[in-house]
Amino acid sequence: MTSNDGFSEDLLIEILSRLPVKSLMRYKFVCRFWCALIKSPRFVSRHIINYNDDNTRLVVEKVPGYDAGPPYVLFHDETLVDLSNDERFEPPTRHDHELLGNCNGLFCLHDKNSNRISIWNLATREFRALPKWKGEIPRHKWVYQLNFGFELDSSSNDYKIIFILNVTDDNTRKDSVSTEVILYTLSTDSWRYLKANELSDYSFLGGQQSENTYLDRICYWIAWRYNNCQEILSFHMRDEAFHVIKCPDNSYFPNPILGIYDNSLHFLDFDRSESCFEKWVMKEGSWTKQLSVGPILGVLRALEFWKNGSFFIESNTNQLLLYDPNTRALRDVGLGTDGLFLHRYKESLISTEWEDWVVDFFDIPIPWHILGVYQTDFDSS
Amino acid sequence: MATTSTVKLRSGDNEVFEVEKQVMIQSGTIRNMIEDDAADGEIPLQISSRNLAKVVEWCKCMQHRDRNNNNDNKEEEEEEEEWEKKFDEEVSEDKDLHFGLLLAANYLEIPALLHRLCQLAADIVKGKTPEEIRRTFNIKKDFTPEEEEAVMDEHGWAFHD
Repeated sequence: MTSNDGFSEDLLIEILSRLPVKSLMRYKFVCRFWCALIKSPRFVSRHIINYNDDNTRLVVEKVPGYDAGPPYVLFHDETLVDLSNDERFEPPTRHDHELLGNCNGLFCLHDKNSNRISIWNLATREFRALPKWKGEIPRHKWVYQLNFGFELDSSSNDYKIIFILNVTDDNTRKDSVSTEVILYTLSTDSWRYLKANELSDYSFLGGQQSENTYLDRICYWIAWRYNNCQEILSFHMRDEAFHVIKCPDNSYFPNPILGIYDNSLHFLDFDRSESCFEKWVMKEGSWTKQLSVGPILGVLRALEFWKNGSFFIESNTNQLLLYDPNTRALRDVGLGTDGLFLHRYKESLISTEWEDWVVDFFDIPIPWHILGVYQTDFDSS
Repeated sequence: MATTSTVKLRSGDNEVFEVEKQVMIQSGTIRNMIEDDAADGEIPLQISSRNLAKVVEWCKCMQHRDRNNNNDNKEEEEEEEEWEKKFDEEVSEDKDLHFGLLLAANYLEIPALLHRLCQLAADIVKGKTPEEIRRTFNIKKDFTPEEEEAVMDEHGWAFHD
């Protein structure tokens, strides 16, 4: 080994795993040993842990027609005061696509032309299309809702991506709707169906947010039953089973969002009649109200959680606002919300060339996933 | 169990530091020795007296801070912050001290100190070019021209801002 001034491999990993991906890409030029080290699964997993939440940044996704620039913009200033310090990304595929969500630096894209799902690492620019899902949806039906969750199953060293498809030929009638659940497994590089009869009662899953709501190997979605009752649906990756959690106070909420903050599940809603935000936290299986703040005027709804308990808000003039409950400061970020999707993004070195590292990729203590909700015509052809 | 409340650490250059056990149990290595009743004599360490003095000073400061954690003493809090800031500056400006402390914190298993030193090292390394990195870490470039070209093909974009 070339001299590293007496540093062991472990110590070198501890230092370098705190660097941004771009620096690490450059440091592959230092010597053979550093090049191999930075590529190693051990290093990649340490980087996910050590390059921590302080390094979470906002990525906005603009729908076509928002402006002339590339559709993805990463803001380097985490305080979102200096929006000029940005980085713009063109999607890796020219086809008409939608972004389903991101987790640990990987974006999940759905190509609407080919119906292929692909994984894109924004920081390393690697891209990989998953094998085509051979769906069995009847020809005259179409998918009007697509939800998904994404995780690394650390017990079996495997990736799983779960998709919940709401299929219909006429979504105004209950009996025309069915729900399909399919699971992609990396080790077999294949898709399979999951039985989920309990989901047939749900007409709509999710909300507007695209962020992952995932903790301790469980994915969470807000779901609506046909009788308009609102519940939280969770999928446990361990036993591949769905469970139901009641919403706070067993109430109905017009625009709730879910998020993970401080290692707990949080539920946030804006009550328009009172112009108040209310936030609950899940502690030991039950909801505890944590915050009730307002009246705040001129607000349409909560959009997404941000750092240190703050959250994004859409104003009724479609401006993006950031509210910090600690200082009670409400700030106009300076972006229009019409045609804009928000993504919390933390870059990573995770390679989309799975076969190189998946076998060794066992020492990440935090599994991860992606979650998103979009309209789509996920046709089976 | 051990009978005394202090532990004696002998540096590589034969200086002896007598420190309270309560302070040194922040080190996993020393804590194990204390628990195994192996810390009653002097503990010889391959760490220079300069670096060991700094490690001991750091451990004392952290123990003091943890003990006063529930106190709302603003003045002491500011003093501690000032001390930590000075520590960061001193370490960042002195590569020998920094690298020496990294190895010492690693050997003595003091996670909080190790994390802090690693973060400081990462902050220093961040803006450097590969050539500057080689000089800092005393590394020889060992790529063949073909290998270098291959890495450049794959990651050359990372050099553009």
